[in-house]
Amino acid sequence: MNDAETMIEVVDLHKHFKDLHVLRGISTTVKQSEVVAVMGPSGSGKSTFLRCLNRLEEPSSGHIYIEGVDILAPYIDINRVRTEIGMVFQSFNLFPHLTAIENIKLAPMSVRKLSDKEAVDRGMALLEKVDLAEKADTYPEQLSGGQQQRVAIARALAMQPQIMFFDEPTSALDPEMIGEVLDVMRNMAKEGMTMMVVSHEMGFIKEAADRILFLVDGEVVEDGTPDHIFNRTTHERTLEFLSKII
Amino acid sequence: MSTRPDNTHKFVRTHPSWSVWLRRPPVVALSFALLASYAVFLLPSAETESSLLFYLNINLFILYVLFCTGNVLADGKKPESLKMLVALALIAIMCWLFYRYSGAEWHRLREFFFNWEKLQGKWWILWQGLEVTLLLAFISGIGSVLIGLLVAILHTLHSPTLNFFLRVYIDVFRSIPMIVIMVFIFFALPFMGISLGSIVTTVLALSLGYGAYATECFRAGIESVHTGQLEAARSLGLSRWKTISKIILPQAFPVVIPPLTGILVAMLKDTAVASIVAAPELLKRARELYTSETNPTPLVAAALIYLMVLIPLVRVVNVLENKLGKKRSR
Amino acid sequence: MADPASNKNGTARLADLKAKAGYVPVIRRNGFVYAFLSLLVLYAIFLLPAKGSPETLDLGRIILFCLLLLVWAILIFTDELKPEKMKTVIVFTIFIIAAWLYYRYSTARWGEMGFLFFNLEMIQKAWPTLVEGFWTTLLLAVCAAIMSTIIGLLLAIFRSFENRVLNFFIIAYVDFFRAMPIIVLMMLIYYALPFMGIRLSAIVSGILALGLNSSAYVSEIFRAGFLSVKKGQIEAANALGLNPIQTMRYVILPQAFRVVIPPLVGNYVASAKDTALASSISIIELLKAGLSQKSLLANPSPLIFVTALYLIMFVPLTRFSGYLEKRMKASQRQVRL
Repeated sequence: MNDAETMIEVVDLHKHFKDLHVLRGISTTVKQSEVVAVMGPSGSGKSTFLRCLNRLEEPSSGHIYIEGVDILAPYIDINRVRTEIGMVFQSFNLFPHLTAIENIKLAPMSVRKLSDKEAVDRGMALLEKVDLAEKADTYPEQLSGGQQQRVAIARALAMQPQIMFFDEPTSALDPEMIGEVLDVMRNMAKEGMTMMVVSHEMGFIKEAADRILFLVDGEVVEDGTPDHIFNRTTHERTLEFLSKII
Repeated sequence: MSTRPDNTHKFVRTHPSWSVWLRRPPVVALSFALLASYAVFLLPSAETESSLLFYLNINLFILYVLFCTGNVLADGKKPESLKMLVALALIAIMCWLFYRYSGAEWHRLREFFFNWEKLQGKWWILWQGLEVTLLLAFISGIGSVLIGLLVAILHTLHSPTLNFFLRVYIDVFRSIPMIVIMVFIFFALPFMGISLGSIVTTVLALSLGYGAYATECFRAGIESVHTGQLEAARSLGLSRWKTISKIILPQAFPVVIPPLTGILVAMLKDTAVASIVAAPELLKRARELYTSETNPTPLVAAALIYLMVLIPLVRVVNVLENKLGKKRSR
Repeated sequence: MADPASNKNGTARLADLKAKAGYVPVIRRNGFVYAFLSLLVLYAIFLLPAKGSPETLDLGRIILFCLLLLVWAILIFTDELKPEKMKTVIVFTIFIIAAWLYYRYSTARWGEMGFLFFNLEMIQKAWPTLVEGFWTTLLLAVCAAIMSTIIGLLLAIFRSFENRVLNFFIIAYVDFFRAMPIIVLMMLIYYALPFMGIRLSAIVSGILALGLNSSAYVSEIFRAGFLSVKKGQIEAANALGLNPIQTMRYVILPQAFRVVIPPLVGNYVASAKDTALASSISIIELLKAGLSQKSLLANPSPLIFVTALYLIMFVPLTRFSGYLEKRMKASQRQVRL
């Protein structure tokens, strides 16, 4: 195995919320251009796991290596790590006081110090990509859920991250809008983006994911290809869960 | 055997982060050491002539105290016990500053502020004052609610002429301070041939003034009912009055109650202003006792009575408003 | 449709309605309105007491007359079919009748009205004091606003640390000053504290009372502002790599400000109105200036002028703050949709 391809390495990650032991020693690696789906019943710690990886939640113990660097070390500037990891939230979290294009150009301008023109050029290109160029000057409240989520993806991509995290990107959407968001994600996967996706969209996972991490009660109970998990698994908890969502 | 180039440089902190640096334990310890030495060496003594420099010095010290404690309290990673300690220290420092620099002669506290012997046998005077206060509030409360309801309903008739005059009423009474309304009625109207007693003046001023606020509140409640409701009611053939009484008001009331309670509590507070026009309410009675006893204990007692009555009410208003806020955000 | 009885019933009702087509209830008919009006006129001619200060029993008759007038007016106003012009005429008629009643029964000395109320000479005499009073009012309002903003902001910041001990004290502070009538607080500070050796000038007492009272409200307003920025917004800013200062500058403050500004302006206006209470501790602000000149000149013109001045100052301010609040509520409604 070529070490250079490893983007994320997680070793024995634990997370406590007061008395609650949410993550119980998760270890895994994600290689470059790999698309990893994280599945599991609600309350199994999927979102917490993802949020620990860019330290939106502070892990209780364990190690996280992004591109080989231990990001929990004290000399690390976590904001520089986060610029390498784009994150898309379930509730979009677009800034309501900014237009779509302003949402996108905010971080490139204030963090990457791009000029206004460069940032707008980059933002428009990305809006083109998610098929929303004509909505550049609209405020989030005037966009549909699917459009908001696509703007949120463009906003994350504007930082030109190496890795993208998706935290249930389609669960707050109406059914007819899910497709447009998944299309954008599918294209990103084809272009070779390293992605971690918390989602239960079976069609998308079967088609786009290289691997599935199956979490139950804060532990990885299965780690395999979609084909393996969906068709040949013998694990009791996995079968139980799959029977519920299919 | 790693083929990976070292990527550490990509993520290492390149510029100093003040927030991180300030929260390091040695820096925090140093800041508190500085605080202590400031208190010991630089703070003026209590006997110093109070000059501009004196106040600047103390205010600078307070700002520095707030900065040091805030620095610890805002840090999510500091242990809870340490934060508790810092919070207690903050409160202690504030109390100590007040104790030292207010210039108060603390030994006179008992004699002049809590001298209950002076009030012995005279509690009934304050008690009577409280009765008058509550009575004033009760009558004016009914008056202002009635005025508010009437004006709000008249507003729904959408007659431009009428609305103009209603608007003038609301604007005038929301803009003039309550004390000015009372003073005007009590001191200026007699010249116009209208002499009203202090009680009538108070009730009239409070009803008209808070009636304007109540109107706004009822109007907001009526407007909060979706126009679809109105259309549905009218298309069912309900008359205008039926629509108002059966459809709009029942839906508007839950929206109206919290702000209306707030208005009524504010009105109860404003009855104290009636002492200016010599209405024999609590504050007026307390001031009379204060003058006759040359001791401010009655004033303190009156203040305590106001607090005892009003703090529960203020809390109730708070709870009601929070409930409404939650309902709205849902 | 399935139930024939109800169907029949329905047809019957339809027939009823057809028979009554063009039906107007008695009280809505023009004839009734005019009959009522003539009744009112007759009442006015025969039953209203004679000119002059009325006796108690006569007062009842006047009040009854006013009530009847009101009922008549409401009957017309609640009728959609009556023309708008008619309603306008009626509003003015009521004003004229009210003025007539007032003229007839008040004991005002009409000849002296101009001398008493709109006496420019008196206002001129009182002018220097009134101007001074105006500046004092302004000073009180501005100082109280600055003080309350600083204290309120600090309280809100320390409240956001969610420390139990601190919160207890902050909540106690806020409740205390929200429950204490300002005028009581002023009197405590100005009349009671000197007995303890704390001697503050009247103007400082006034500023202190107004500022402390207002700071409690300001802290609640800022707290609501902080709480209004949802946690997801801060997370999204973090995930983009914005540092805490950038997050504050670009994400939290712009959103919090929109929520904070309207009630804050409202609070400043309310606090400026409350400066009139300072007249109770013998601060010569606008109201006290008007009152003292009124007794000095034995003429209410200065007081009338001061009241008018309050109107001129505060009607635009109240309207402006109301407009801000309405705009905020409208934008919130949009977000919800």
